[in-house]
Amino acid sequence: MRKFVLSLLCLCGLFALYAPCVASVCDTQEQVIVLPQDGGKWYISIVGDNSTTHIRVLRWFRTHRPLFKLMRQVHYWEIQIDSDLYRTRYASNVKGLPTIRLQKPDGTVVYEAAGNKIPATPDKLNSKIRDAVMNYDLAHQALPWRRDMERRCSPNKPCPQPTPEPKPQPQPTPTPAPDDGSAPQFDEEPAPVSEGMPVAAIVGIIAACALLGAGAGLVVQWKRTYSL
Amino acid sequence: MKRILLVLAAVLCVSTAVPAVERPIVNIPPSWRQSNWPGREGMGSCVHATMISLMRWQGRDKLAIFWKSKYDSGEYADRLAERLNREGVRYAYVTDGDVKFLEWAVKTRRGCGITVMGGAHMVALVHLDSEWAAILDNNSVSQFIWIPRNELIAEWKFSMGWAVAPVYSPIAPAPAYRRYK
Repeated sequence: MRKFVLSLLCLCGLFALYAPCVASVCDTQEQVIVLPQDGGKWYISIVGDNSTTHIRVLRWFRTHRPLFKLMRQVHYWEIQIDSDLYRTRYASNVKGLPTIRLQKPDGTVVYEAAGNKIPATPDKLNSKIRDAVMNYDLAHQALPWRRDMERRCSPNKPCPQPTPEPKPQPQPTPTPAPDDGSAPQFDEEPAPVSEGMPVAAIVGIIAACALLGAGAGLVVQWKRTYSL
Repeated sequence: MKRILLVLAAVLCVSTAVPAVERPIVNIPPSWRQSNWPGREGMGSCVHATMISLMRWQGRDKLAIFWKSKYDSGEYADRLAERLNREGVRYAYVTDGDVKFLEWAVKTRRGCGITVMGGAHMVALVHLDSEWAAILDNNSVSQFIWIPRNELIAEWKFSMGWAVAPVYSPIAPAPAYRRYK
């Protein structure tokens, strides 16, 4: 028994010596083989001075599901005003503290709110950002149409006058790939699950009743027509 | 109707206001540019100076400070990779002159170090478009150096074609165009 325990201890000692070497070999590969194709990723900057609002906003992005989802889709930066990053890149252009800023990779500011202009709830913030992105997308969808119209019009071929029929509405932005410069996707809080029968079941029942009724009607008609 | 007016107003605004793209794309501010320094082995520390500037650009101040305190002097691809692995730094590199790597580094706003002068020196590539390239030379950090794209690529390929970049999130672009001299 004593020999067994001693052998076990020796083995454990050997393992303790060897394991760190194995671990160090296993864990030292930090080279990125598949380069992240995130050149089109947008940016969110939260700039602040640890005020109550600042801390609240930071918490929203960690706990509010739609904002958290948004955060995961962008390059997300939290900037403190005592940092060199703030002094060098933000101090001259923030309009107040805290500041929330959403930008495209080319620097275009799609949404920005500062100080008391920051929405009071995370839902409102999410809605504001979403609306800003949607309006930006709509404007850029319309722009190619306008350019094409201007190209086609000439003094000999004047542009057609607006017709009384309503213009076709722009189609919703399709689900974008994350690295092609498209806007991030937005999420809503899930609606409370309503009690009662699900919609699919109701539709199924209605369809079944319709088929049943049609079948019964056919049988009745058949009997009438072909009964002796 | 209100929505249509809003869209038209947005179209007018967008068509008249062209957003300024930061130039160079990896617009490292002067205070973040690391100058070359003589290392303990008696050689310059251009590779480390380049990596430090790029680390700062990617928001890794503490890593940059640590790296400067620990590493200096000349460097080559394999040994740098080994050191980056050991310190747990995310990075990517090529040694075969693959231009796609340079394009990726600039397109994703990360930048990269590239060898020049036959492999004797490393500088930071901070811009690359269809016509121009810009570098930040750690021997002269006061300004960016603009070179025709083809010339820069030829120089790099002649210089062993080694390029290396930290791989973290780049900082946000400037909301207003600013040019550092």
